Amino acid sequence: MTMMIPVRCFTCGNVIGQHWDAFRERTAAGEPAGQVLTELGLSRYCCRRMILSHVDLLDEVGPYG
Amino acid sequence: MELKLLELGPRRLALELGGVSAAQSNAIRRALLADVPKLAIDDVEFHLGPIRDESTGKDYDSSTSMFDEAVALRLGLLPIPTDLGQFRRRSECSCKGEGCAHCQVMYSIDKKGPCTVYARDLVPLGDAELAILEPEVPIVRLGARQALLAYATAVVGNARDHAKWQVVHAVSIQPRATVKIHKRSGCSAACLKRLAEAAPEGLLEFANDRLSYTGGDDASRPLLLLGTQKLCEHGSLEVVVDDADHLVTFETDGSLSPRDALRYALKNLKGRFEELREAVQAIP
Repeated sequence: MTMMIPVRCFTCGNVIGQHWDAFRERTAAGEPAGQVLTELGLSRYCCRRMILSHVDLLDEVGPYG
Repeated sequence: MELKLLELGPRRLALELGGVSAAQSNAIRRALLADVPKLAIDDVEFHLGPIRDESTGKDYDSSTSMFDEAVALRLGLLPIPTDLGQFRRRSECSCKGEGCAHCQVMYSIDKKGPCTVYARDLVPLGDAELAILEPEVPIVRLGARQALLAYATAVVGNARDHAKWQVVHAVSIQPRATVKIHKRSGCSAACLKRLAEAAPEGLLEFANDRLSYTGGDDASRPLLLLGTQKLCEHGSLEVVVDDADHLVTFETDGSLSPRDALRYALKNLKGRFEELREAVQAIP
């Protein structure tokens, strides 16, 4: 389980963590996720799934840590 | 051996190698992945116990909701700009592994919650040019009474030992291919139309009873039709693969430029074969 967005893509090793905040804000504002990922420069589907499938759980776990 | 540069970006390189075997291209691919050294954080010293804010007198707890080991791993994976002319491995340094300005870089991190700690909060002690390349990577989130005070040491290492020292990723090598379309006897318009429909998007077009290739100049795309060509039993669509020409593309994490990474990988290959040559020479 990764509680925060992983720093790198598990498959190819590309650094992807820096895109998480922008992705979250833009999709929350209603932009389509696929388009946001493309515009963030994530072209491979391994990197795209890192962001698309991530659930930030640290705030849920935090109070018990 | 011929070399044609197709694309050179700050973090991406594409080139065409002519007159090489698949084995040679693969040797370059493997050297790129595993033999290019870079700086990465290898040692993190966390302050344990209460952390006092001198300005307010408030005490913070040094434990966060993530284990120290997990925070250390996240710090290790961050890309650090590396000048291989300036830095060398500790084992090869004149300081004999004790640690000096030529073989290690120190960073400090001092944050008090509530906040999110980002890569930009990791401050290099000394040269500001060694700041983390991706400042917006989140490291850990701190609660209201939590703080993070740590010192990190980055050293030069090799991807054979840990993925954090991997400069190059997404290396691909593929033979050059060209598409030939000739309507063979026995082949019908319906057959050609079926090819256009089955092909990956944007590669084949069927109009006015003619099939045409619409993949453009991108040399990597004809290979995508290898599966489609089998659908026409008459052989109207042919993908000709030239094994002597290879397209090599790769990306770096920014710690080295793609050009430097390739140069270093080739230098490393040369060095390894040189060692072998000397060993062979020593055979009586």
